[in-house]
Amino acid sequence: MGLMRLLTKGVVVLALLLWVAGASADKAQEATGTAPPGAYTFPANFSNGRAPAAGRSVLGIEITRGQLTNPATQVELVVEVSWDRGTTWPPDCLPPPAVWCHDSTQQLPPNTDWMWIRTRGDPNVLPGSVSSQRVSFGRLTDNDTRVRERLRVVGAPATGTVSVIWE
Amino acid sequence: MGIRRAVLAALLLWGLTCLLPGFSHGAIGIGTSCGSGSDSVLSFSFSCTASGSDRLVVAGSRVYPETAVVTAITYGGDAMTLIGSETVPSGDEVYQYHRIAPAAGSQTFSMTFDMLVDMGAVVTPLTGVHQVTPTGTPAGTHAGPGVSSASVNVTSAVGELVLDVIYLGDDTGMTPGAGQTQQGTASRVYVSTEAAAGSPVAMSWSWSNADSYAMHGVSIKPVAAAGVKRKVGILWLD
Repeated sequence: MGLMRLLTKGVVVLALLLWVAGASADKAQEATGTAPPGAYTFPANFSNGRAPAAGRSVLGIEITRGQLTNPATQVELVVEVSWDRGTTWPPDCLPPPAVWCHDSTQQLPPNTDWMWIRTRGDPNVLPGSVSSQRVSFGRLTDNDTRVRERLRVVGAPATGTVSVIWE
Repeated sequence: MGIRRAVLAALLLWGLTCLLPGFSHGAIGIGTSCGSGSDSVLSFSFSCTASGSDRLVVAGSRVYPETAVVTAITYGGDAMTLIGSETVPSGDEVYQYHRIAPAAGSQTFSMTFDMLVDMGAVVTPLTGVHQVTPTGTPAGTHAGPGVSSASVNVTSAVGELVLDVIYLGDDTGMTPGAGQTQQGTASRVYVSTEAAAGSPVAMSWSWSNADSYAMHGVSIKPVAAAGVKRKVGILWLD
């Protein structure tokens, strides 16, 4: 009877682990704290980027909003994707006087993709909320996929945590 | 001589059938859809790839709140055209937009709003689409809360492709109707297609938990009809 109970427990735990593994989303924290207006890049080895897990269909980015309460604060989060191990990346940021890093008229070279969101501070923001984006580019990540991020803060400092996600 | 006449007659018959409504010799191709879901944003962008000839991209999107105004929507930096929209009162709004002859290769799809929004969008690249009048008459519907299926009749014709978008808050068990192919999904926005076998085409979805929804559909016209007249002319000249 004790053995049966143990086996049952084992099966339940195994099923739970498999479920968690199947449904898992990887989330890497890139930065946290207060950023004055300016341009920032992640991860530390920006030119190489980060290698996400293979076989994922969605890439994402988010910034917490709990402390993003000043309406003067505007934030842009960019994810750049290289599908050839970081050999090719999307074009660089636009030069000043462009306020934001990219615009939709810029041409993407082969083997690259990108996404971005822009948001602003809100005094009525709900605790725990995030500004986020999750994109399916129509192909799965593989061992040649690399991602990197850019943060641009405009107007007033931004406080929060930036994370990159793949699922 | 008899063979020549038979061939000419067959060609003439083929050409004439192409002139009749409902006949088409082209097929609309469907590329790989791209999708994005975002929360609390003023604008968002992502890249998607279209290739082939006689291209069209169609964006199906959902925006919350419905009072938000789309101040700009572009593909490859070019403005997109609104096909139509459908609103759930005090809730969400779904839109369909298109861009004729979008630039080939990887291009950027972008939407900007006048306030912070939650949204989802699926971009579907198509080929073999009529480059002057790519869409038919759109149709939309909404209902709820408390319903677990949706259907909208879209005016279409044989050879056309019906494309729909639907959004609902709880998409548990979301299933497209018979004959429909789901092309993409993002943040509970679903897009599907069905090759028209006549008119109208009933686009439908069902789901497990009763909820409210907004749905919109349109028929996409193939390019073939425009080229057929030229072929008939050549036949007569010969």
